[in-house]
Amino acid sequence: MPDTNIVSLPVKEKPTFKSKMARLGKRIVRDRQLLIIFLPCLLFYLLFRYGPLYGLIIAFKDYSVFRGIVDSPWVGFEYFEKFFNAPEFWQLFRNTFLLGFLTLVFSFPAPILLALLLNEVRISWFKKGVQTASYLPTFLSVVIISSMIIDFLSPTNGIVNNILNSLGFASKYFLIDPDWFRPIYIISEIWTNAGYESIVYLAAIAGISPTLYEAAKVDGASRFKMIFSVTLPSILPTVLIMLILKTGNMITIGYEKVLLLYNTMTYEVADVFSTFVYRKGLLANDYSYGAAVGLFEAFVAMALLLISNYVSKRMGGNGLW
Amino acid sequence: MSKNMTQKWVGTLLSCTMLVTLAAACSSNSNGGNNTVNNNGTTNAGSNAPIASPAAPAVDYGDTGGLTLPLVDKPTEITWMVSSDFNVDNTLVVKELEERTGIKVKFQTVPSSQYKDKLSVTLASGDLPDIFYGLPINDLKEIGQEGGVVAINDYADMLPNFSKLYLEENPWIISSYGDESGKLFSWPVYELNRDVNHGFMYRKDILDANGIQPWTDTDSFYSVLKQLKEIYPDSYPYASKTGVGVFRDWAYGWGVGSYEYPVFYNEGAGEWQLASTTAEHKAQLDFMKKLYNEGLMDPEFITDTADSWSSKMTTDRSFVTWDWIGRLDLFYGQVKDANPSYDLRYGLPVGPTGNIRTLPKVDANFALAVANNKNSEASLKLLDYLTSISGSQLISLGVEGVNFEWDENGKPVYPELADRDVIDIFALSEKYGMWLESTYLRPDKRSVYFNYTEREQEAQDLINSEQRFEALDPVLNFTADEVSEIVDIKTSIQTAAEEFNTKYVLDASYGDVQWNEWIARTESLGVAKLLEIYNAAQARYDAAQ
Amino acid sequence: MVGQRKFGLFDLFNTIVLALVACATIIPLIYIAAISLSDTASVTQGKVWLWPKGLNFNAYSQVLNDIKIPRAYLNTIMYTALGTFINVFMTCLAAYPLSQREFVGRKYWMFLIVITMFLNPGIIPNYLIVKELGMIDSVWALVIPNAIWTFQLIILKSFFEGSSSAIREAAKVDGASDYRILFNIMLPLSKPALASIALFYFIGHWNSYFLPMIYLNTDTLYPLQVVLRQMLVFSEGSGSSAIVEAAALAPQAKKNATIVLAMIPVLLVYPFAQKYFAKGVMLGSEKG
Repeated sequence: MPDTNIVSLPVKEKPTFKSKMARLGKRIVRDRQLLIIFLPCLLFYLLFRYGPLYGLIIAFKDYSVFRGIVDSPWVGFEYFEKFFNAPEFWQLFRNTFLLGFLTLVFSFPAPILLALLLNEVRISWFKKGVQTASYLPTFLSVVIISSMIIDFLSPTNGIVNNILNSLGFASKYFLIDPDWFRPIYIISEIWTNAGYESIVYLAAIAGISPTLYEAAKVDGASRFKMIFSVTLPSILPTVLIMLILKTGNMITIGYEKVLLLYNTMTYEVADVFSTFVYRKGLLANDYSYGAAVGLFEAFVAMALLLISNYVSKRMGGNGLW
Repeated sequence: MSKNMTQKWVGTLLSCTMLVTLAAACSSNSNGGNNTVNNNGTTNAGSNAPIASPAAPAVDYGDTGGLTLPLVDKPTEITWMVSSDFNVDNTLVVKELEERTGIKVKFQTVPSSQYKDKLSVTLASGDLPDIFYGLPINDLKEIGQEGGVVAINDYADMLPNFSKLYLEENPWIISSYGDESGKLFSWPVYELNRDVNHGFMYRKDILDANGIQPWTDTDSFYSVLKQLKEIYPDSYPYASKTGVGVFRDWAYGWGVGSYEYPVFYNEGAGEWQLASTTAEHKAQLDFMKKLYNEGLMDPEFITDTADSWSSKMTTDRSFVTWDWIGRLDLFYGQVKDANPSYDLRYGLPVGPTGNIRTLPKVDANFALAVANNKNSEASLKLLDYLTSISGSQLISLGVEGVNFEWDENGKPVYPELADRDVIDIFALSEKYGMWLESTYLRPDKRSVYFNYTEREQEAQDLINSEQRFEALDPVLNFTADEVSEIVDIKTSIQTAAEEFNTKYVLDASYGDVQWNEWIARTESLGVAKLLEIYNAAQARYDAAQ
Repeated sequence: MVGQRKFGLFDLFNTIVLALVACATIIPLIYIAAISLSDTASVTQGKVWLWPKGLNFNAYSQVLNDIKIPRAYLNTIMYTALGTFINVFMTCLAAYPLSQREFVGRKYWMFLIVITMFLNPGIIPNYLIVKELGMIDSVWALVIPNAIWTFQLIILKSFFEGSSSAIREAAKVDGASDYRILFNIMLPLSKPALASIALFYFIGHWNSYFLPMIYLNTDTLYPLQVVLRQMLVFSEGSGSSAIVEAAALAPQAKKNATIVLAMIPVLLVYPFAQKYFAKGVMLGSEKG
């Protein structure tokens, strides 16, 4: 007698296209409410973020404002070649990369530290005051900030040198020393952005359930230990996301600040892609060239983002997707 | 959670949206019903109230150079994009122009800081204003060749003022500013520049107080600075705010200056050369180096900002500088309360040539162009009218008896502006629509723009009396390909030159060895090719004369 | 945290460091304000530091007496309010689905969204699209094309992710629809996150200058930053034309007055938003 009591396991077939589609269909139906909620966002990105992307082809065309994007003639990779073959290319690459990387390394912890310290403040008016003060620099334009920096660092009567003198040191002309360009740039970036960026971390800290702290207190943890065992781990997801995003943005350095802070004596470390394109633009408007450089930077940025996202997930953290 | 909560949210949302939409609608309604979509001022603005057809002028509007007013048979509206921080819609100039020429000019005013970007997007979106300016000349030529703007000289027979002033008296502008086939797309501006606009200046009160004579040449310049340093040991007598521009600014005194700096036209050799590798330039650098090493030149000259430099020049930490001529009076005005004896005066040029740069009499770099559309002829005639004596007086002086009167010196006086301390072209722009950028095609010399203050007049006389002007380099005409090549090489060379110049002056160890290395470096950067392009263009220029 | 604590060494260290931070950020602003209140001579001579010299309010009266200012202030307030509202609303709608781990296509959506952060085709294509939609010279050009900033979207999504799956499952068991979950549950619980992105959007709108300049043609629509900059008749061009030089005459005091005036409203907003960063808002949502 055949053994009809044996339950036969379903044979694992290779998923057919049809079955994949069926599964997809099921998921769509299951998530239909979410999809509807998501719809406005989708339309937005399609229209305002993907729509304009055809403009990127300027990098591959000899763009003339009058002819327009569509009718300008194709030149393929001509501008990219010009750019890569420029005598300054490697120096620019090194400068851009180093400046971006060092800025990231040194300025990333600052907002986190600030948020952690602010979190420990008991006196409400002091906390609010410091917070408000800390994000005010974002309202000043780069021009003003650079002006102030140049003033403060003046070898003849800038504050910094006045202080150095009173401590017995000789005056130093910081602005023309290539070794000081990056520190000056990085410190001013921290000064400008730390307060503003700490807002995100403060919000993350605010979301930590108090029960976690209570449990740690019961375990006898000191305040210091609580920061390390409760606060930091709880905001880790936020920290990782910010790190991934900033790594992606690492080399997109705007020209304005560098332009205002550099000078001929510091070109060799300060000149970056964007300032190079800017100076070219002073002689003749070359949209195509600028577009090619921008596209190059975009690709490097995306690569960095993908890599950092991957690394973060591999190490057990969360990623962007 | 009850249904009420959801309803509450939706309700709140709806009411918020409504409120806000109302507010938005209110604000946009109050700007005169200009809610239609295409707001780039196309000429099909049907919302114009009917304009009474212009009658034959019973008034004499002055010398129109042969044009008959009105310029058009039926009311026409023309859009003109200008950089201005004031709205000029109902000003005197606009009204007068309409009355005289029959053309209603709609000035599309764009804030000055954003003019270039606004122009790009406007052009890119296909809405060319009837008249506009500001593109690089080569871009304009391209547009002209594609038919986007008109070739002005094609219409010369209906433009008497243009023909006389340019085709007859200054035909070189076609070869300098036109394209390869001799078509000119940009309308020139006539005699806008003063003779003297920048130069060396010094504190006369300080020099007088110490019995020092102002310098007359390079050696005495050095000696003046030296004396100042002895008397004021903590000062740096010469200060600069132009950063690396200082090399370019001083170059005229050593004979290697040019608007194409660091490339310049060597009249003696009859060819274009690189200033940065000439013996004269080395002499200039050596002189600067001497000043720097002896503490006569501000060590911060590379990084000084306008503010820090102003501070030095007004607190007796520096006494000599190089700047725009208006500074003579500007500094005085700013510090007279604190230091009434402050007296900054214009000094003789420094350098072996003893000359300053020449400013061109005719300039088409504004790239003022007329779009190729149904209003082209009207626009061209309008520009021609503004080039006539009659039109240019309207723009630069006003209407006699209406907004100005002549005073006993033959200068215009504006009674309605009597309460302002300064009557300059901005005041005139704002109140009357005069002196809008690119409309002053032939400014009248009696205009307030040419009012020289005592110090400025002194400067003018000083230079003019001995004609201390460096010859003006020819304005060359490059093809689009040539421009592209030039930009690549020139950017690299210019950057390298700036770096070298600064290091040469600041670094004591730099000397002849580094100079020779520098010359070799320019060769590797492609200077030969660059000069080849320039000289080929020069050959074309010579042939066309 | 409950209970009072003694003011210990750590607190002392903390207070000093934060006080230094506050000084570092406030002092430059005091410097700017001091200049705006000083007389021309002292400013030109560089004698003003943290205290005005020759105290006067001329710069402020010059700026405030301009008839364009009240209108511009009103415009900015309206654009900022409308804009921030739309921003937060749209960002929520986008972040909620993306925060659900099993959301169909989640990885793909995220990738497509994130790469838009790096690809910037410049102002011209954006302008053309805005023009096609008929939004030029209207408030909509300022609030729609930038309705969602990818950066804020990612931040909000990451906040929602924190605990939202558990909440969602529990709520779904109760029979709630996603709309209700989002509006009635998630949002009230995410006040700190919403406050922080709202603040970022607010600052973005308040400071914006370039886009209003490009998209608006009628001067009665200009927001504050545009009008303030116009007043300075500030030109950074280095052309040889004397007119360009003459244009750069804006006195330092007036420039600084415009900066201070633009900043004052913002100073008032943050303390107001700060209360949303109070702790313990997600009380008990975890229990289950």
